[in-house]
Parts: sequence; C-alpha cells; structure tokens
Amino acid sequence: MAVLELKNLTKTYGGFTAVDNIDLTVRDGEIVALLGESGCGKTTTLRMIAGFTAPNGGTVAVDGREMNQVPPYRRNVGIFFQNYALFPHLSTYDNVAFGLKLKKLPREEIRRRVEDMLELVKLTGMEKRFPRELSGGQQQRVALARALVTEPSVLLLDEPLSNLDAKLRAEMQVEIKRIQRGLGITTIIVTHDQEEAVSLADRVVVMQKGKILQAGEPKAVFDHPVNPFVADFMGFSNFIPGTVAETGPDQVKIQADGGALYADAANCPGLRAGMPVQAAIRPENIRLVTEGTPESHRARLENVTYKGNVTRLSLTGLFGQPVYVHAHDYDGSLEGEVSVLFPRDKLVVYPADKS
Amino acid sequence: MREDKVGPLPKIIAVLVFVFLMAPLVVIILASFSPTSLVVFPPKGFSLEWYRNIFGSSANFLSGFVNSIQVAAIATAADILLGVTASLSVSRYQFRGRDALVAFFTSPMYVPSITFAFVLLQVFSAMGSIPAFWRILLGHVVIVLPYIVRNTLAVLASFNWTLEDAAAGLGANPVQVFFKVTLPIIKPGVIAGALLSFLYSFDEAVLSSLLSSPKFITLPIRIMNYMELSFDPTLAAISTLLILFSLTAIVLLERFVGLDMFVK
Repeated sequence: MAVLELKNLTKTYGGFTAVDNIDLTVRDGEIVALLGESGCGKTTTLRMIAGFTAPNGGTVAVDGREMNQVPPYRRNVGIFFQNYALFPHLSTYDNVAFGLKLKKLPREEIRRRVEDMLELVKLTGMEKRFPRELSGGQQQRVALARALVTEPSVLLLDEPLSNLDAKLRAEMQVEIKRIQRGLGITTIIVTHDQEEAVSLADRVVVMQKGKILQAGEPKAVFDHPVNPFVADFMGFSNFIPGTVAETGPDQVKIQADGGALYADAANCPGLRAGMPVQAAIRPENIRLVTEGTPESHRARLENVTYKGNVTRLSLTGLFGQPVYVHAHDYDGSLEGEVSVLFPRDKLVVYPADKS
Repeated sequence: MREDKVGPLPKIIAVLVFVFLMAPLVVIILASFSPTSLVVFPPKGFSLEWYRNIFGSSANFLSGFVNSIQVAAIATAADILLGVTASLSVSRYQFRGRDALVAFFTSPMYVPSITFAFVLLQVFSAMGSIPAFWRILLGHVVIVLPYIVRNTLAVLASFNWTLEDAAAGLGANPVQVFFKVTLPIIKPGVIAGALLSFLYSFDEAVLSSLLSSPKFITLPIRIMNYMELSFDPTLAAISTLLILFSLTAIVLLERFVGLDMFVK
C-alpha cells in the first residue's frame, strides 16, 4: 500500500548516462511496466528504487518519504530477481521465511505466513526441497513467494517471465496478476518483452537511452506509439516512407513510392501537406483481400513462412520495399499477385525527420 | 568408470607409485613397535616402550606438540579473518590493481621460506627482544595466508553476488548478509583452506627453526633436535602419531566438506 514517486532521477557511470532525469509516479496498487531494450536504463531504475544503486540526482520517494539515504534493508521493497537468486543453502521454507525471521516475528506466525504464501503460489508440500531440487517454474514461484511474504510496500519484478516456456508463461502471467491484485501491492515490472508488459501492467512506460519515451495504458501504447522507435518496439515492423499529399478533417493521404495510403487524421496530428513522413503498420493489421478495390494495392507474394498461429507473408513490388503481412487464416492457396488492404485506422504516421 | 580401457603398463606404474608413497609409512609404523633401540626391519618382537619414551623423554615432545598446536590454531584463526575479508574485497569489487593485490596475498607461497625466515629474523633482531612465540606466530600468519586466500577465492569465483542483494532486499543488514548468506555458501572453501593452513603451520620447520628460542620450541624443531643426538624408534613412534593426527584431520574434512574441495 504505497505510492512510489521518482523525481528527476538520474544515474551516470563516468560519461555514460544510464538513467536521464526520469519522472514517474506509480499509484497505490498499480502495476507499471518499464519496457525497453537492454541498456535503456530500466534495470538501473529498478536498482535505484531498491536502493542497490545510488542516484546521481533526483529522488525516490515512497508515500512522500524520500528514500535516497535509506539503505536497501530498511526500504521494505520486495524484489524478484531475473535469475531468482534463491539461497542455495536453504530449503524452500527457509528461503521464504528468510525475511520474516529477520523481523524476529514469533515462530508460529512465521510458519503460518510462509505456509499461506506457499499455498498462494501453489507450492504446498515443497517446503523441504532445496532450490536445486525444484524445476525452473517452481524456483520462480519460490522467488515470488519470498518477495511477497514480508508484505512489502513496493514490489519490483525483474523480467518475471523471461526464463519460462510458453505454457508456463501464460500460467504465471495470470498468477502474478491474481496475486498482485489480491494483495494490492504497488508493483514495477522491468521487461524487454512488449507482450509481457501489456499483458501484466496497468500502465506501460517505454524507455530508451535512459529517457521515458511514452507512458500510458497498454492499449494506448500498443495502438498509438508516439514515435517510430516506440512503434518499432511495439511490433509495427512495416515502415513505409512517403509524403503527405493532402490533409482532410477525417483522413490524411500519403503518397508513397508506387501508391497512395490513407490514414485516420486522429492517428497523425500535426501533419501538413508536403511533409516527408513514415507510415507504420503492424504486419497482422494488413489484410489480404480476394478482390481488388480502389483502396487496395497489388503486390507480389515472394515468400511464405508458417509460424504456428500466424503465417508470415513477405510481399514485394509495393512502395519499393518488402512488406510483411501476418495472416491468421492463410490457407496456402495464394501465389503470384495478391491484393492487400491497409486499414486506415491501423496506420500511424510520423514526420520522417523525427526518427 | 572405463576400467577396461586401462592397459597393464599404467596399472603397474600406479602400483609402483603407490608402493613408493606408502612403503616408508609402513616401515615407520612397524618400526615404532620395535623392542630394539635401533630401527630394524622387519622388527624383532613388539613393544610400546618408544611410545612411553615420547612422553617421558627429556626431549619435551609434549610441550613441543602443545606449542605447535597453539601456533597453528592461532595463525589459522587470524588468517581466516584476514584471508576471507581479503578474498571478499578482491572478489566483490573491480578496481585497479586488483590482480596485483591477489598476487600479493598469495606471494608467501612463492617466496622460499628460508629467505623469508632470514629477513624476518633480521627484522625481529632489529626490533629487540620479541618472544619466540610471537616471532613464530607472526611468521606463520604470513606464510599460511595463501592457502586460505586461494581456497576462498576459488569458491567466491562461482558465487552469485545477486544473493547478497536478495538478502538485503529482504531486510538483512550487511553483517546479517555475511553470516546468513555469504559465509554459509563459501564455508567449504574456507574450511578446506583453514585445514591446509593448520597442517602446514603444524608441520613447518624452516621458519620455526630460525625463529625459535630455547623457551619456545615447536614440535618439528624438537624432532629435529632429537634426531641430531639419537636415532632410536622414538622418532618412528612420534611419526606414527603424527600420521594418525593428519589422517584424522583429513577424514574429518572429508566428512564435513568433501575431499574434492581439498584437491582444488
């Protein structure tokens, strides 16, 4: 139960700025995901919140109380480490009980809280096992239980799902959200995986080079990235260069090499005719159509890659560059010339110089 | 085990090496029970007279033993403190001169002990009258340090430092982090190093012979002095007891830590 506030938070290593003047407020009980590539400053931010790394400037505050001078062991922050960091010499029970024993709680209360927590993460019966005797998924749940059992005011999760296989990921995604909601702990998740971020968080914060590029609800960030970098990170893998031909109240016409594209005016504010731009669209939002319409484009099907739940089609002869389409219902019958449609509400357009 | 792949020649060599190593020990043990005052093999009869002589003789083996144990125990204890903290500092932090510091901590291993003993003797005599106990103890603290440093560094090389962050995050202050997490995990290396140090100090003769005084003499020096005068089976008897002593230490080590730590 806490509000976490970062103000002008900065960390430099020599001449390198890892975290550059970050402002962020995490509301009580909220889950915020810090999303970015490795080296974007998300882990350094996490370590400053935990107190392992001292900022060069700015403050970390919990419930209005500045934490900069408070050592990690007095911050009451629960941390889940990417490599779990379970104590190899202690059993599951003793790993989870570690923080409670340090608080010198009565033995009976420790036992009750550890057992409740192990039940919550579905590890009842594993108390006596050592970390090396547990599977990866079980170790991960011990780490989560250990971070939560002390009832921290803030929970920090470092890449909580990255080491798990697909099935376990889906399960843990639901579990983490269930447990976090049940306990109402203010939580920060650090991840490089946009799917992990949008599925777990109430709010996604995209970082690059130590700065926050965009912060917003998952759907807003997912559908309307503020710039080409965020768009690329969010899976907009088609970037089509062009020029604004005309702007209207509802739509904008973009002249690209070899065809015109139309985008909703709401998705591209501030554009003027003649401006060089990039139009971005997700591969799964481009539609294959059987009959050409005035708005559709003709392209040549170059390559087909079956990827399980989607089929990746590589098209050429459009806008002078390859265009990728993810089709969910591709039956393998298409070849040669195909018609594709770029839905205007799915296109986002950025001024070209701002990449 | 691929026993079938081992040819006859390696087997013969192995047996010869084993005999070469073990034969003297067997001879000494058998000779220690000899009733005659000259070491003869095979012994003619059986007697415990030489064992009695250890405790009765004017050579004061017992006081030498106590002195050696004292020095070895205190030097090892001091070096556990020095060696573990030194190893932690060079393992935990990356800094300039780190490798030089590691080389420095382990350098007593590479300096001939007779050279070191000579220098130490010069220093001590320049400083005036320092009791032999302190001279030997200080010398041993230096020469035994590498064994603890090297063994501790070996376990720290694979230590996951995130564990210390994890403990701190759960509310452990730096002292609690060390005693509840770091030390229990590196303990096998520390114990192995401590045992090596202890046995080395207990057995050390070069440095001790130069630094001892008539008032304070360690067991190896007592044995050497005794040997100059007589060569009766008392020495065989005391050697047998020392073999037993070392063997017990190694068995205890194997019991509590595992001998593989010892070989590293």
